[in-house]
Amino acid sequence: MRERGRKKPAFFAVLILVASTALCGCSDNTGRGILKAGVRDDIMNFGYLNETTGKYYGLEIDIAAEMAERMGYAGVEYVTVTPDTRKDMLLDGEVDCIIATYSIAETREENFDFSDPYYTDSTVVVVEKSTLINSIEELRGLNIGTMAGSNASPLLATKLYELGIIGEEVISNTDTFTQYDGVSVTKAASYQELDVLLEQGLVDAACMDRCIAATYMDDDRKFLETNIAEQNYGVATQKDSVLSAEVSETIRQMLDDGTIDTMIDKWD
Amino acid sequence: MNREMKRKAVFMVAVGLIFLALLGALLFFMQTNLSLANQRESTHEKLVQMDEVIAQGQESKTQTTQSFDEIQQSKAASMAFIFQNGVMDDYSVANLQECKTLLDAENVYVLDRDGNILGSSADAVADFTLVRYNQLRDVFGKKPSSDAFEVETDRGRFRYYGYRIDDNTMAVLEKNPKELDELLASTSTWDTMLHTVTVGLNGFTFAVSDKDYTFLYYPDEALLGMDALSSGISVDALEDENYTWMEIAGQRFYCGVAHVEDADAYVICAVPEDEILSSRDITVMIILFTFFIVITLVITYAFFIMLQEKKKERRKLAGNVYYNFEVGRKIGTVAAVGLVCILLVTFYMQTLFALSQQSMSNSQHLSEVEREIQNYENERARITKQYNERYLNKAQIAAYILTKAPQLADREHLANLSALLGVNAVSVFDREGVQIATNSPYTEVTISDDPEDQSYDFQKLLVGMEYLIQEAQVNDLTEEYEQYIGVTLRDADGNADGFVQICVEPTLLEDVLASMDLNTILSGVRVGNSGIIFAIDSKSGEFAYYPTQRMIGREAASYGITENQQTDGYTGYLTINGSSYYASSLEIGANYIYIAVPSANVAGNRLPLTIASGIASLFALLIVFALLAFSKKEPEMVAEGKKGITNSPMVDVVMPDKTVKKAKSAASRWQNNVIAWQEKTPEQQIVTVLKMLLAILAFTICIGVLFQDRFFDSQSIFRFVLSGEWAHGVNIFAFTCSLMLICVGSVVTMIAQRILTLLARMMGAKGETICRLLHNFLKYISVLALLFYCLSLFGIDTATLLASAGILTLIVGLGAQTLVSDILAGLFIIFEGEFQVGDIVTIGDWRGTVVEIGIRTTKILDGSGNIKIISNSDVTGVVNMTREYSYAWIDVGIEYGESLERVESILEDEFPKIREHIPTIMDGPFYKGVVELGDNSVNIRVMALCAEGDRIQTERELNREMKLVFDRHKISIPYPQIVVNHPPEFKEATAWEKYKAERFAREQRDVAGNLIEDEEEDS
Repeated sequence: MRERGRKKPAFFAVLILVASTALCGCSDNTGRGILKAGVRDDIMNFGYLNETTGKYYGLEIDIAAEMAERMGYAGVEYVTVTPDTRKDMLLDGEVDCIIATYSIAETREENFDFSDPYYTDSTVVVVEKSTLINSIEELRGLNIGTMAGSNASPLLATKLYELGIIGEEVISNTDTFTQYDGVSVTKAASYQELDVLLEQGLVDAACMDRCIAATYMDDDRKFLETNIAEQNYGVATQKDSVLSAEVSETIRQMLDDGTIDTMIDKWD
Repeated sequence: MNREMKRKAVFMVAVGLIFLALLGALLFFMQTNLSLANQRESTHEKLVQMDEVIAQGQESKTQTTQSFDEIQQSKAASMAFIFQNGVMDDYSVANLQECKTLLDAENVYVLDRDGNILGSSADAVADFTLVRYNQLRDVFGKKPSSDAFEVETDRGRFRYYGYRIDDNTMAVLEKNPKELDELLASTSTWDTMLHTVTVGLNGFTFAVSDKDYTFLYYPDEALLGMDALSSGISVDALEDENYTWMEIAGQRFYCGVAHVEDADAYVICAVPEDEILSSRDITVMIILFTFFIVITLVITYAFFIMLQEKKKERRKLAGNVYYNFEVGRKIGTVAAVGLVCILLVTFYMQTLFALSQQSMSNSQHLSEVEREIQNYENERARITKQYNERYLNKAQIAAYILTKAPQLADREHLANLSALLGVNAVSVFDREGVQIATNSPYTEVTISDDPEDQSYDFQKLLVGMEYLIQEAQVNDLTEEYEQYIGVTLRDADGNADGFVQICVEPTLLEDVLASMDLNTILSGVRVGNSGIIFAIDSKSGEFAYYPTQRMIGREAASYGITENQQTDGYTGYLTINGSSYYASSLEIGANYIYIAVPSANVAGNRLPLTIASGIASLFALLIVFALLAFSKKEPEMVAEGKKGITNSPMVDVVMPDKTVKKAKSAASRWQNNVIAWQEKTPEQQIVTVLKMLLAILAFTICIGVLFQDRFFDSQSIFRFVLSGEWAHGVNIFAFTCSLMLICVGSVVTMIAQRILTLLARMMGAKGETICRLLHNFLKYISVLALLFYCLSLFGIDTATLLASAGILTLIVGLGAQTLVSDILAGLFIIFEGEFQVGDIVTIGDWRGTVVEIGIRTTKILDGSGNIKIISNSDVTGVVNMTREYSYAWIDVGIEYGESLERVESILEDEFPKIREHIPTIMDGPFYKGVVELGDNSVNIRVMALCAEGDRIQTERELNREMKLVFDRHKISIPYPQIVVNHPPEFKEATAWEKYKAERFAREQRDVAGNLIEDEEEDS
């Protein structure tokens, strides 16, 4: 009986969704149509686009596919999003949901609904070994690179503040550069650019999520031991949309029945 | 066949097919599992080996990088030395550029502590003040040098090396790591590590990155760097120690995966599906075919017996079950023999495939080793050259410094310099070859004038040679490996003014070269199935390498390896120290390298499979037997059919043991006609069935052999056996190859003979003769040729056999004369056309039809159906009686009193009737006139034309007819009688009769006149 009770809201959600899509006429397919999922195309094991085959693969791709199937969609259309664009694309309805190493953060929850976290990652600092930097304290006075629009910069600032490396004051702040009291942060337009900056020494360290950093690691680089923060990735949907509850429920189910664990294991 | 039988037949066929399918499924299943288990094991071993290979690769990568860095660091150090010791005074661009050239660097810099550039060989391009270059500032710490690091700049990728000049300045060397990359590429890339590795026969090893799932290495270059996941590999499969099927670019492989963490990669050993399955298919198919033959024979035999049985012998068993004695006894025998055959074939096939697979994998392995040794040879030369260049550069640096600053030529500075350069000693010699200064323990050395001496070579430097690199040699005093390199010093005018000599201890080179030693290489080779690899020196016959150290250098023969096993390309069993191995050899350099696998491990599968197929077949045969021999219904008693005399060529033959058997009659054996199926005994029918099945098999094998390129790839076992690339001798390959060749031979001969038979049918008797001779000839030739070839496969030297004490002598010695004369006579008979097949001849006192003229004998069928076999040389005095017509004639006596004319006129009327009565007469009868006016009678002759074969019978018929005619017309035939008194009353011929007789006699003369008369005289 409990099972049944739990399923009911979902059933209603489906009903409402069908009704609403029918009303607004934006569904171009019969039935549930195609789910447009915003995914990354540059993060190995999460969302990666093979340019020769045009196929995406990775954990998030699998989750999106499984989720869409459980929700009764005929298929998934993957749309590449970047940290810069993902917010707007979701707001504009260019994608139905975002499964793109998008971490759950309070600021984001104001704009979007998030599912339960399907993956927990940490934000880390990467340095070149030749800088001889061994701990986060040694970053004092240095220039740290982050990716513009990613959650890493605020988390970094918070952590550095907690550690007393920077003061409260923000001396200057532009889209590409922030000068804190003690440390400066350069915001790169893309991870590739950040990679180059780090390589050439134009930034002394780079702060990003571990799963992203994995793509750019080589023998000459290392992680600093102190983690900046834990990051919980969730599926984001438009605030209070019909899809939100459904996505949330599906992800919940997938977590409960171990599907996501299996997938993480697969892509590990 | 009645309806019930038909139903039973259909049922039995279905049962047979079901068993065939079941056995097939069982064998396929077992074989697949066993093959996979084996493959898994050998893949596992390969993966362990790969781990080592990769670890070695990693190590060699580290080592190569280290030695490269050491060289560059010593250059940075020499640069610092130059500035510390005032060889150069300032950091001017010119000076630094000279440094750059000398040190073979891309750029050199002099920096202060913060990274500000004090001098540089080129316009400053890198900002050394960045944290990124902190590593360089290490030089101001404990160590005067900094570890190497690489930066990818806008200008390209560079490695940086720093060395302290003084507390506030450092020398920095900027080096393009291209040379290092090349070195690494030749030693430790995935390509170099994996491209020589084979798994199984056609399998290979590839690597997939564990980061981005791209192919790091794949034999197909098109896939390099491509996405492995989109090529068909699933991510789930990529787990350490996972064995599974994978589909890569549309081809299926059985793969084993190992995750090499250090290299961030999955290493995958893949064996193509068809390699595992093709051998399975052929083996299982042949076993199944054997089973099929057996079960077909049992079933058909039972039916043949039941169809022909006369007495329905049944024993009633419990209930309503009847046991058919005859069927039970006979098919029981067939089934038992069949079961043994199945066991033998299974065991044989399994052995054959295991051995050939092992042979192929051994030779594959050996050629890998050969390639590896070859690679090492090249590598040796390359590495030696590379190290020499490096040492030379050190000597040049020393020479440069000492030319610029001769005042540094004292023990202290030289010791300093040699430490920086990483050499044992630096010595300076003047233009007389006398040592001026050195930091080595050997002082006051003078270059020797004796060409025998080690130092003599350096005389060349005094007369202007640029440099000299001596081979590394063992120092007599210290027994250490040392190498001397000299570079000429020049005065201001560019004339030779002594030289600088450095002494290096090439330990690194030594290590590298040692790792390329045969023993090291062979000890690194892993043979699957707990096999071993060893080497025997081809000249001395001693073990050049053996896994157990104490065996090395011992006589191989004394451990059981015979002389003829010590050859290139040996494949077969050999015994080492009492244990048996299955081995293959290959001559590489001065050694025979063997790969030997313990015999017991080679064909491990064969016993379980043989037993399984044996038990399964037994089970199937028992059921089939029961179904055939037992029946529920009481059989109807069939009235024994009367057996009339038929024209059947089948006759009963009483064997020596008094049993009666059916056999082909002698006359029919050489005939081309086929016995009608119904006339055959069940045994003959079953033999026919067996022959047909075997013919199908032989034909299939023949097709396989003839079109082997099309049906089998180059590494198939089928082709391996045919290729003859195994040691010739009494072994399973020779046996198999002989079998295959016999199949081909017999199929070809059979086809040729069939064609000949057809031709013979079309052509006349002459053609038939030739065809039969060719037929005969073909038989001998094919048997002889096959015999010789197969003997050679078994390792018997047929050439010697032929030439010397072999067959030829035997032939000549033991009545070859008759044989030869028989053959010659046979040829003459044919070519002179004395007679041919079908002729009726008389040879000696033997008259009959020629059935066959062979190479050695002629066979003649006489009127009573006997075959006379005459050696061709005995064929003399032949009377060939084959003509267009033969003449059957009879002489009839007429009483003197009878009117001859009356008789003649009667004959004219009667002749047509006689002809009608005797169908064999082809023309005639003819009246040939009066032969003789005998003592008691007037003898007239009547002749008719007929076939020679009918002649005698026709004569008898003629006699009979004449008697009847005479009786009818009251013409008496005289016979010896005593007439007491009986006056004759002779009738006068009428005038008409007279006229008629006159005409008739004349006509007859005319008609028969042209026929040969002398024949008649014979009688």
